[in-house]
Amino acid sequence: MTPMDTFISLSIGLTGFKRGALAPDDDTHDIKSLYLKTFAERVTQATVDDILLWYRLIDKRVLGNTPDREERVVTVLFADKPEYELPCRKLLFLWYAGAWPTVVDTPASTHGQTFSEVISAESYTQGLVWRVMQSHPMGSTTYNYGYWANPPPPLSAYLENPV
Amino acid sequence: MTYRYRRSLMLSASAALIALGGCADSGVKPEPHDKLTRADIRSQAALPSLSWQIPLDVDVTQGNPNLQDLQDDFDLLSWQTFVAVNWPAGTNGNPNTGTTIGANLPTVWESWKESREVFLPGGAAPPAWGTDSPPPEVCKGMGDGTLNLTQVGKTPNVLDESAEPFETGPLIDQNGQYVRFAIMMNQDMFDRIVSDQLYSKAGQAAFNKPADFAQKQTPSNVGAIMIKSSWKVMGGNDDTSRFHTIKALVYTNPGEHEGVSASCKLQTMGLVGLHIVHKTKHAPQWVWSTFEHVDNAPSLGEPQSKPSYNFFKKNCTACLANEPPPRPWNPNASYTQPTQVVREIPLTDATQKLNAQYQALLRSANANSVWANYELISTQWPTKANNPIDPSGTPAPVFLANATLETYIQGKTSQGSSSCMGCHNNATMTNGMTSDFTYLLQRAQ
Amino acid sequence: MSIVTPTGGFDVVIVGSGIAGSIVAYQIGKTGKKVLILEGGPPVPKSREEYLQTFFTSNAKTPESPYPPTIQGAVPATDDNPLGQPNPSSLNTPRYTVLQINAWQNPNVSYFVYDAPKQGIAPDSPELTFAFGSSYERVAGGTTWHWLGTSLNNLPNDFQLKTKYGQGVDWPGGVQFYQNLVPYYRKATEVIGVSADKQAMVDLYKTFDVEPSGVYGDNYGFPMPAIVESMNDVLYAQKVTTLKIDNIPLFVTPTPQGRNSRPGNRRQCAGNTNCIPICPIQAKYDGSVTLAQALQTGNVQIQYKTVASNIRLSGDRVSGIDYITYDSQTGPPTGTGTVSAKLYVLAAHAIETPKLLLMSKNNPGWKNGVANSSGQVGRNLMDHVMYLAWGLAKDPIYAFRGPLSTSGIEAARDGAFRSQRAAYRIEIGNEGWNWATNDPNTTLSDFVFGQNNTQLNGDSLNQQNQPLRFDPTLPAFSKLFGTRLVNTLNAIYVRQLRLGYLIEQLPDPDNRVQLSSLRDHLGLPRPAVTYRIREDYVRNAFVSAKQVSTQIFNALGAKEYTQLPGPVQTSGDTATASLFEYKGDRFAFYGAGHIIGTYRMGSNPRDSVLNARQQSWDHSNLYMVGSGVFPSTATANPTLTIAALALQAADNILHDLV
Repeated sequence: MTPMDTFISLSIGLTGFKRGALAPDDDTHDIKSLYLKTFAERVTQATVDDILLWYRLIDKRVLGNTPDREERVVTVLFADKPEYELPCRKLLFLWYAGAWPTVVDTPASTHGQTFSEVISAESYTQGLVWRVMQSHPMGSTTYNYGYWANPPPPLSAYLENPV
Repeated sequence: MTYRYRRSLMLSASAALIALGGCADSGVKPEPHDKLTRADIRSQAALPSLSWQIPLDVDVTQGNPNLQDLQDDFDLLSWQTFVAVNWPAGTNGNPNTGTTIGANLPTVWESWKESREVFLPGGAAPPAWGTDSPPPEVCKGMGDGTLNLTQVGKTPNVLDESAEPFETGPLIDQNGQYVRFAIMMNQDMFDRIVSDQLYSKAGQAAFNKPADFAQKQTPSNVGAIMIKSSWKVMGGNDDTSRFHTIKALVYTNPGEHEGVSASCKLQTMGLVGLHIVHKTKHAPQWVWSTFEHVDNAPSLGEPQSKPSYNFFKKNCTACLANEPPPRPWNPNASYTQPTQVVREIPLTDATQKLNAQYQALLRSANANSVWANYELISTQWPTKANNPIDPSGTPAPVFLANATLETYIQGKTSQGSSSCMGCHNNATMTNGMTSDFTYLLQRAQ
Repeated sequence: MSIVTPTGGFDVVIVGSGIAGSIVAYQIGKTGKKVLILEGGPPVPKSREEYLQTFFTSNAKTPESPYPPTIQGAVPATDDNPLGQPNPSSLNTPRYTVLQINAWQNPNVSYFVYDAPKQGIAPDSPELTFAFGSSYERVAGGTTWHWLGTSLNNLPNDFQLKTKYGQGVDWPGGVQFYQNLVPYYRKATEVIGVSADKQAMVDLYKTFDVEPSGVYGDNYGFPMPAIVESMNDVLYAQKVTTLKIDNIPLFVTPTPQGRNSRPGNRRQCAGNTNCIPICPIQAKYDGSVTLAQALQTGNVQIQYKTVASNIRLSGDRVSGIDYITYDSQTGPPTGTGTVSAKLYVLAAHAIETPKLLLMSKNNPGWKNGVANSSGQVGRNLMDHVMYLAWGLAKDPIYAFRGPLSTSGIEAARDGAFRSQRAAYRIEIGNEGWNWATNDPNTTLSDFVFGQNNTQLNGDSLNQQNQPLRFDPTLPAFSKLFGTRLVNTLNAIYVRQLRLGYLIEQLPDPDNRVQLSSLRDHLGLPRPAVTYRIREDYVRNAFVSAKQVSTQIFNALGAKEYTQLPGPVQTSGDTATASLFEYKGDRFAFYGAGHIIGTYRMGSNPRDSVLNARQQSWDHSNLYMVGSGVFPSTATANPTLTIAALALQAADNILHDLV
């Protein structure tokens, strides 16, 4: 497994989206490369290397090639290496929002809040959050007039396809 | 491999299969040689012979094609189509199969119907294929130009971005003259418009469905093709031997810009840009090929190696790049401030290599081939035509612009910058429904 | 580019190239008269790419986020300025933005300068001051770059609020003003290109006892059919018919909008769900469309980055307008000059126009500013103060799709209640909780990091004491990932509902724009703003809106998530900007983006700035256009009325030019 392969598997487990959405065969945007680079810049290359190494080690132990395999690996990862949970969640947020989060602990009553910094115009439009809601980024759609009068394609289609 | 394009037989008068360099064996996964890229392998292969036969679809020859492989395949398709539609026309506008391509002769596509011949006042039915429509009234008695060029600005309803106001501006050449445009359709596209009665508002209302130009393809019915061409007036300092030229009726349409008078003039025009758009079986979003004259403009970040350019003045420090002239826009003006055009997205190495190969091939057929002075910019194609969450088919490359046709929107900003499919995906007709990637249907009256 | 004065001089100089200024310029330019526009901001860029790029990369996607001058990341972030907002005094054309609202007491961030609320003032005092809620742009094409597109007529009774209900003021001539405006409303729908369902509007107006002929004139139609309603709209339409407000039966009306429902010179709407702040394909009308037409006449010149700084008088007539030019926002001025014409039009929107008039105080006999013998310039600042309610539908309605709003409940915009409480229009939002809670990122953050800023992920209760944790099988402050996260987020987003109430304000002379002692980078005074919601009349509408929201959500079978705002702070730097207590409850108000009233028309030169012709009482060759001329806010979004009035003003000006 190349580091990118591991990164994709980790991202699948974290996001709940499939390979076809995150790293399609014909990847016209290659957002995965931008995210791997951003992840290393923000949490350090050493941390990323460790996380990916642990993912691979756990992956070897986890049995069964089920659709939820990556998620099961991540569950074990969070249990075995709790110090990696927060950086992984920040990566998860990055995939969804196209922005890198800053988590602060105020106000206490809500257990803190999150600010974020958009990485690029493309990361914003590639954000998974728009697909998880079966829609499109505000400001960029490929749909046509009147689509809003009808239900969207099923969520499963959004989990499996690129845009 | 998830790519849905299957290998298709390329039908050609003199078929020649592409042979990859030695490693491409049917039982072996074709991996690049140690030091050769796939583009290098491509460039070592023989090109298909020059042919008047328009290919029906892309031919994917690689066993496990990656994105660049497929781009190469589509770029090859573009060149083959370019050669075929620019083939010298014989009788009835069919290709003259008795000659090869090279001399400056009227082309097959120039015999196709122009947009203004199809969408008539009152929604009248257009004359049958083969029957020409008379030129606009103001052109009467001006000799026999082969083409009426009726558009000066980019179609406002499509490209409506510009400097001071917000429509796409006109392109002005180095002689201060407006560049002119024309849109043509082939018979397959025309026949579908007629049979579905989409040439009128009433017909579109009665049709009451999204338009669809998909049709069974055969060598003689290749499917719907639309072509948009851009032309500049051949001026005193233009070397006409470097252009495909025609004598045309250059018509200034008063409906295009408020306050402009109708006018018509027979002029020698040189082709500077060509969009070829073909609806194929595997590309319901069409395949978008775009070509330019090699002398049009320098690319950002690359040396200005030509002695002169069609749309760029060297050493002009006061010239702002890619800015349209200020309004009012009037194509009848004797002189307008030229546009200083720079190509913002350079051609890829792979495309440049293919261009060099084709230009050499064209020159081998005719040493003075005018067509060797044209180059492919790129081809946009759907990577996932049946993507259930993306009706635009997730195009590659994401952005594509012709410096003469989308001069002012050449960037990489979603929705704002030129993407053939991105923009044409918004095309609708007078009944409010999608028009299958063409803005022509909204011209119906 | 320098000004080229035509032989015979300019007929008209216009300050501002927004929708109002551009309409006047085009109407006058196309007759052959010579017009000069002074625009303080930069030109319309050659394509939308620049504005879109700025928008896509903005961290806070506010109405102003695409437009210059840069409002985020302009300076390094600090704790009290986490978005890096620039100091308004460092900019040549600073303007107000919604990001400044919560920083209203910090003049290093807020362009408007506010006094702190009075020491010890009670949170329910009518004298409590607030931050003004609405913003504007200073670029060529103006604020319609970021408008929503809603294109409604005002109602006849909106013009006679005083005569009919004993509240506020009448427009000059009352209902007759409305009748005179009807043909201009028609023309305005053509200028903007309004898509609407005529029958629905006829039915609506019948409920207000307005007959079609009275509203529309003969053979009235809209240029394009109505924009298709959303699934969200359909749910409300089905369910609200069981409800009444003050005996008025409720129903849903598709909204007339300045957005193409058919292709034309611009593309048909594709539902980019981004009308505010920018339509990426210009399916939505904006002022640059009319500006382009004005420039195309060949009779309209425009000078960009040219800020009008002073109006000169000669006797009682305007003799010229001074201006300052600049190149970059933070660079020095590059020049000054004066332009003159036969007639002058101010179209710089309702903050900068009164500011200009008040700044022009060196003319003998006019020390209170130009056109200000009444003392009303800058006074009667109004907005539609908005109440927001939000919730989750029982079943998916697929929010975040289509234009931001395609329908509303118009039925309660007028009626007998209006003698007791302000009227409102109810806007149905298609964009989920985007406005209400800054979604989708807030809900995302809640479930990724175990927070509860949306009330979905904790032990929150709504104001009906219903638990709000979205998934009771999950613990509070859950942190999710993978399929569980997908399913939770999806189930929430596709159900998000939002209502907004556009509540009319009454003119209060103490709500006003004045000159502060702080300066912008050109040395011009920054606005000092005083703003209150004094009247029970208006506050009662919040009470009504809150009750009605709960009834509507009940009728939908939805769960209400409208959050009671935090305590009102009335002192010091942390004084809350937009909260008040009233009748034992607490309310937050939002601005609708509608800046109204600061140079109003009237019947009497002692209490108004303009006569019914939008002409200054004081200076016969000075006119003003824009929502600043409105004596009342009514309940309709103002743009169609702005356009109609601008067309009417142009006719008046052409008449006077002869």
